[in-house]
Amino acid sequence: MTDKSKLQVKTVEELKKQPEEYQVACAKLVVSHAINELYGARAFDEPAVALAPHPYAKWLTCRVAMEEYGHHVRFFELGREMGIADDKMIPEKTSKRPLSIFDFPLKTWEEFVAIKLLADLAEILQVEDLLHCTFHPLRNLARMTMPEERFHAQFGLDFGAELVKTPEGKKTLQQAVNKVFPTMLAFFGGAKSKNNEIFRNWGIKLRTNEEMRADYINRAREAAGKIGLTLPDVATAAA
Amino acid sequence: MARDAGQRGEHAGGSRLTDLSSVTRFARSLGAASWFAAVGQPLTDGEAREALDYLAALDLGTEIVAVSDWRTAEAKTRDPAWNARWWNAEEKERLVLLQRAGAEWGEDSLMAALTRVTDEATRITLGAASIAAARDGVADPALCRVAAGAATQAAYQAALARAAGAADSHPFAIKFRLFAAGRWPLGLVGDTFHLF
Repeated sequence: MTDKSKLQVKTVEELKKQPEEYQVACAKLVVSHAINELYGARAFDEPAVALAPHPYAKWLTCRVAMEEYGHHVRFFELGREMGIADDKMIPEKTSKRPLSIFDFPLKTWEEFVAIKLLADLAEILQVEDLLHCTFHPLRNLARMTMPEERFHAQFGLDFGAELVKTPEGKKTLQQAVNKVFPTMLAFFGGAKSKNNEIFRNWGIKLRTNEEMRADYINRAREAAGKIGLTLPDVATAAA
Repeated sequence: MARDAGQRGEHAGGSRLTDLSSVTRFARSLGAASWFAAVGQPLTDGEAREALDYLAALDLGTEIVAVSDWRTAEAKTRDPAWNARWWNAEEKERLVLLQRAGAEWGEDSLMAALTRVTDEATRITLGAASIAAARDGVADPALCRVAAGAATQAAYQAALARAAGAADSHPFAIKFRLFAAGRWPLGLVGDTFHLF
């Protein structure tokens, strides 16, 4: 019988000796990150290179795209080590739906900046919740990924600060925030998620989806406020 | 540039991938390039000639200016007067090569080979840019990532040119040689090409 309160799984080999529920839970998270990191790079970062206003922004966006892709590769390789089939971790080969944010039809640089500001902040919260994960290979991956995720959110803040220098830029970015933010709230999963309960039960994750969503709204409001923007009313309604 | 991990390594290629071995060798050679080692130094005659050949191949201007420090380099890449004609000329060339190489090798094999190149360049170039900037007293993670992004793009373009069977005189081959020699081509501002 596994004592959940003392569980620390240091290697993939050790994972294979754990109860099935624990193994499945870890696999779900690895698959989810592998798919969504790649989806993000393809749906937003790569197309944004063409939208970027000058070479500085274009090359930085290239780099961010490659970092996001690199995150996919790290999760993919961990998944492979865990015995997860390649096809389950690649968007076009799996039936698993990507996060709803990826349905957002990116059309402008301002929208991309809003996505970096808000979606990458959401990603930071997700990764933060894995920093003390009982499955150490996943915990270590989260720790490795975190500095780059922070940089990507900072990208949103820095270019946001550039855009709000003109009234027109501020207005367009605010409109983009108003469109992007409502799509973000589903990012944290359902309030009564069975998966989340299992994750917490095994010490894989720390917080409930609702706790994370509430924290996200506060931090998103703070981030937007730093560059003089506000969040749409949906934040108040969901808080 | 990003693809998926399934396109890397042994699972991606199929039998024709071995025919793209020059691209694989190119990926392996990236660690030997002098990334950013000569930025800020006066241009040699050979580098100036390469830059002129690059511009001529893309039908762009003939004026070249050497940039001497990281902050000026940053300013040039953000200059509102940057000339999109240069970026668009490269992009047009990229699409031509992509079609040609894709028809020759198949999209999956081609992307697998190119992904090896971008993986390797991504792994190497940020550290190189950070060291070069630090040597000049600049600690700016964003600017170093911009430089690394430019270098990775150049490696991808050069690999694509190889895959398409382009000659060493192709503009992407020339641009990569400038990077490999430790330079950072910053592009056109107005009609002037800036080389760091």
